[in-house]
Amino acid sequence: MRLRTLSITGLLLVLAGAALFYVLTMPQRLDAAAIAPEDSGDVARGETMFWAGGCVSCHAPSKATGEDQLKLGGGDPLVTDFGTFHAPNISPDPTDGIGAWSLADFANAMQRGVAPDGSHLYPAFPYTSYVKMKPQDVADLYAFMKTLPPVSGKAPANELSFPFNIRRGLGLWKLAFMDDGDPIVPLTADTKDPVHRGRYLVEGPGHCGQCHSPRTLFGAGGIDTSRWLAGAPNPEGEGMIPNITPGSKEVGAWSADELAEYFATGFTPEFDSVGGRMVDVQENLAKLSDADRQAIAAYLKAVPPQP
Amino acid sequence: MRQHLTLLTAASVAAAAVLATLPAIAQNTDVIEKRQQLMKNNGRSAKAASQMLKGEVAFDPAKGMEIFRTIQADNQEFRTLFPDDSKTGNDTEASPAIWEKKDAFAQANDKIEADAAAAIAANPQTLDEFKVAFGKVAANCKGCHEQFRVDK
Repeated sequence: MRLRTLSITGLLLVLAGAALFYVLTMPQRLDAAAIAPEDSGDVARGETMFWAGGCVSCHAPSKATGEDQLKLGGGDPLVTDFGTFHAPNISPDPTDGIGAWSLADFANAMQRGVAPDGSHLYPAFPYTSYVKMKPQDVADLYAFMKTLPPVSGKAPANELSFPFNIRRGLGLWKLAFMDDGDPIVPLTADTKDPVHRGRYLVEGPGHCGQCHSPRTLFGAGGIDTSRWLAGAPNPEGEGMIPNITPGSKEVGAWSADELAEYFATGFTPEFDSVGGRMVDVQENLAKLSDADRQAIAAYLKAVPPQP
Repeated sequence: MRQHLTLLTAASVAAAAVLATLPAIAQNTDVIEKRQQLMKNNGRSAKAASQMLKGEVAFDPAKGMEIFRTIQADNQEFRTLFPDDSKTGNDTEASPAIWEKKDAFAQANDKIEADAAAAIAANPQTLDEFKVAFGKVAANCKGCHEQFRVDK
């Protein structure tokens, strides 16, 4: 009799735990009001968001140049401590890519990390930054990406170790670490306009903080905003991703013009060159307007200095 | 007590033996310094080219050719400076990929030398010609640093 009571109690606890896990990990989609009208996207403005967002760096093969960069069938494997990620096909192919997605589907992936079927996307896809994008910019990007060549074939599945391979568990990660749409660095109303634009580009679409800021929970958590852009271990192995605040020993001494020049040409003020993963990023930045590169530079000079 | 002393002696001898082998695995910092110096030279070459391209210094075709010849000669020496005992030390930013992917590293070196040779053969006489030739050579900087340098 006592054993039976214990068994029933145990079973009920397991069921309650499973139910709690299920509820806590349910996908949280955007409110309809936070999504721009379906056909409102502007292709030309979307191209700016496309290069600011750096989509090709992960979703096209690394050696791709010119028109091949626009074939987003999936990129090189991203090898991390959690396992190997394979960025999916985001070309407009209707079966293997995202050609069948509505703008709402796209916005929920970009800004909530939720796939159309309700499954969670891994935060290797930087939706915790894209959440700060304006709905209209997401719609513009969607419109631009519809114009790209469809690529057939799906990317391989991720190869992750336990417990990171349990996709549903990402719901808990999001509860703890999902960012909101608010800016990270507070600016006053009298701050010059380029700084505001730069903040938007860096904190939102540019997702610079994803690599240039340390993370909580031994690298598995969210961005540690108290150490915003202070530099961090390289998630792909050896070396460091540098501090890019005014407190940086190296980059801190660069003027705004020198930062903008680096984004345009890949050369530092001492004529050292860009290297590593930043090469892809710099080549994306080179496709932005001078004004946007200057805005990013102005913001980087305005962020709180970090040691 | 005697047994303890014997053990202690044995441990001391072992420790001394380990210390004696250390110089054998010490890194070849001379070549690392030489590499770093040649990279600084490349930076100077790029700076001189940039000053002409931006109009800060008047364009001089002879100066342009000197830049290409320096880059070519420096690289011919640079690529020989990666013996197996120069992987660490002196804050080197050389990536392990240099030794793991020797063929790819050799190709990257062949490419900058071929591009420098082509620039010399083109013998640019105008600033526009120089801009095209230098652009092709300079693209090698990040092309190689993307894979073969580790930022520290």
